[in-house]
Amino acid sequence: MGDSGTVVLSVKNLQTSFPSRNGKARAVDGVSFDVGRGETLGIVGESGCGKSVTALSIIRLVGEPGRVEGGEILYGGRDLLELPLGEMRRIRGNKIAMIFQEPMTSLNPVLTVGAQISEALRLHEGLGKREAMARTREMLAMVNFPAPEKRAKEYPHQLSGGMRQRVMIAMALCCTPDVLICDEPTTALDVTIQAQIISLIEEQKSRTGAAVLMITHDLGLISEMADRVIVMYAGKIVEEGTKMNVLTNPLHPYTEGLLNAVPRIDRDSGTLDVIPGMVPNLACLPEGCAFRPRCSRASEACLMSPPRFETLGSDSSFHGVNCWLAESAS
Amino acid sequence: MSSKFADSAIFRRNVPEEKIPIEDMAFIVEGNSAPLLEVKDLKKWFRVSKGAFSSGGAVRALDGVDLDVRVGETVALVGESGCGKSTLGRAIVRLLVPTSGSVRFEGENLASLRSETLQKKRRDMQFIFQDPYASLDPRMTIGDVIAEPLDIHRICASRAERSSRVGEIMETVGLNPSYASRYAHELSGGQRQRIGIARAIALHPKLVICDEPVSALDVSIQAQIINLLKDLQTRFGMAYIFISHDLNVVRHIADRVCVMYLGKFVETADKRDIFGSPRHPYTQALLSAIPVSNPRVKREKIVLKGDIPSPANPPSGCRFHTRCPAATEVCRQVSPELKEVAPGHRCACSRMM
Repeated sequence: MGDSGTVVLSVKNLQTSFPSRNGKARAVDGVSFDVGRGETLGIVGESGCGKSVTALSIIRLVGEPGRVEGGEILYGGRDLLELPLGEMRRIRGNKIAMIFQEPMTSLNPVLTVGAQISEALRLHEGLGKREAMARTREMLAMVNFPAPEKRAKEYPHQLSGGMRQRVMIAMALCCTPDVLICDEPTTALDVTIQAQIISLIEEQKSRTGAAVLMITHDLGLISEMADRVIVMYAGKIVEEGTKMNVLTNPLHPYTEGLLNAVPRIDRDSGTLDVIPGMVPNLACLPEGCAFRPRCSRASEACLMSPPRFETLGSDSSFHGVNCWLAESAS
Repeated sequence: MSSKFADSAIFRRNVPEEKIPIEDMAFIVEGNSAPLLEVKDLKKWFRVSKGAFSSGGAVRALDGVDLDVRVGETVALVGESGCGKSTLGRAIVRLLVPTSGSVRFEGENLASLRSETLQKKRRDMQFIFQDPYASLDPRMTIGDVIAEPLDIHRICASRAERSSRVGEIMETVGLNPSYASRYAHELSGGQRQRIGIARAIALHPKLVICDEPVSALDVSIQAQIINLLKDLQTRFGMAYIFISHDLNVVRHIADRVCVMYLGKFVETADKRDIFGSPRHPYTQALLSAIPVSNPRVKREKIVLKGDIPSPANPPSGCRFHTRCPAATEVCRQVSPELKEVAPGHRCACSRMM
């Protein structure tokens, strides 16, 4: 959708893999998507489906021995994967910022939170020490920190989980990024604090018009925040479309399974529907469709070769699915 | 499961227990619904020693809680981190020694038992821990982990009997018995949680305390474990105390729900009443904060301000007043009691009186 329609970040055929004892594990295998200005794109999937590696690939922080092996990441007319490291550093944390899942492990325990936020401002915006501190206090006030003057001088361990996540958000937003990547930003938090953090992200998004990439396993969060949704399984996009299409009319058996497996507050039911088995080892994926061994509707065709991505619907109600079933239906 | 009794008037809490005629008491015992566990005014304070960074005092993790659990029912304890729900679970089985109050299991006060007798009682009370990675000994084989309770209570006469029992238990929880010689690190999170469950049910306990048993698992695995827990309950008739912060899961598994805030219950009721007509502003806020995965459902969200206060220094009066959207002057001064607001539905809020 992307209200103003301008694509800010475009990922094309991204390939990231990790060597392992059993051969190469393709954590991200041919993922493509665009995010527009002011748009929130949700990426859902279970652990090991490649959603976090996709995010890390975009900001080029995939750790050794992992490697981005192919594809393009277009931002501002340039391919981020081709940029020299120095230029990438100028973009990372400045124009493309990221909020990580566990704020305690991603903040530096021996620096005050004020020092950590002002570091980004001094590095990217070239502010002096005093100016940077003043802006830091403004940022902390903006993310609803009580007593920002005092709190800026505190260390991460003195803050609660919700407060730490606010520091992460302030840090990510201090340079007004074009793209904000949120990797499970509320998973470690209680629901009431989650609600606070979500409304804060929404508020900041509408203030700056940033494109948001929301990575989560929580379909409820996706339903509340995202405009469009990508469902990933074993490194591939299995379904993609507008939030309404994907969540109310899922086409891929995996998406359907995920939706049915979650106990829901708006629905009473007996036993939960279960997706049997577990996520396959990425280094030795099953033949054909990777979801086949867990799929209740698998047929001969699914064993033969991986399905192709089928698109349905028009631009405004886009819906795409990577499944042989959809192909035979259309 | 005692659910078929839940609707008979006698089990509604509006009938004070002393007034139940003696014949009816007999019926309760026969109907297997006498409280299995009775917790009265349980407190657990952690002393904070006076030191360079602290002025001393006590953290009131648990500050006067009453709880009954009947045979075969599931009682859920919900609340945010730091509200004392895990402390309550641990204090019940005496993994933590309570500061005051009593815990009666099948009519016996656990505090008065000598350690050998307590250990025998523990056969009937088991615990499933949250983190299947941290709660299994990495140097023990899975077979040994599951057999440990059998060994401690000297259940099996021979090695052959022991290994056949382990195999049986593993099948019950959906694990392949051939995994018995493997180690925990070789298995996935869901399989590890099955080991934790196998270990807990090995002795056919009457009460299992499940402390966030699915919160470390992926959704598809979470559903498998929830179904397993429900299935085991139907087969063996265990009662569960289900500790969770996830109200979606609680709605699915619980018969009764107790909502905790800063070491106290703020609302207790049947699942239907808690989800259908929550009374306490905290419960209402908790329920409204849960994201719903159906984009067609639009709900008004109550966003609470601030964090949960420190239990070392709880607010005066009603402990929730600092975050409550409806707090009045009275709430700042008077600490509300848990009072019945409808049959079987108790709520601690001054505005309800």
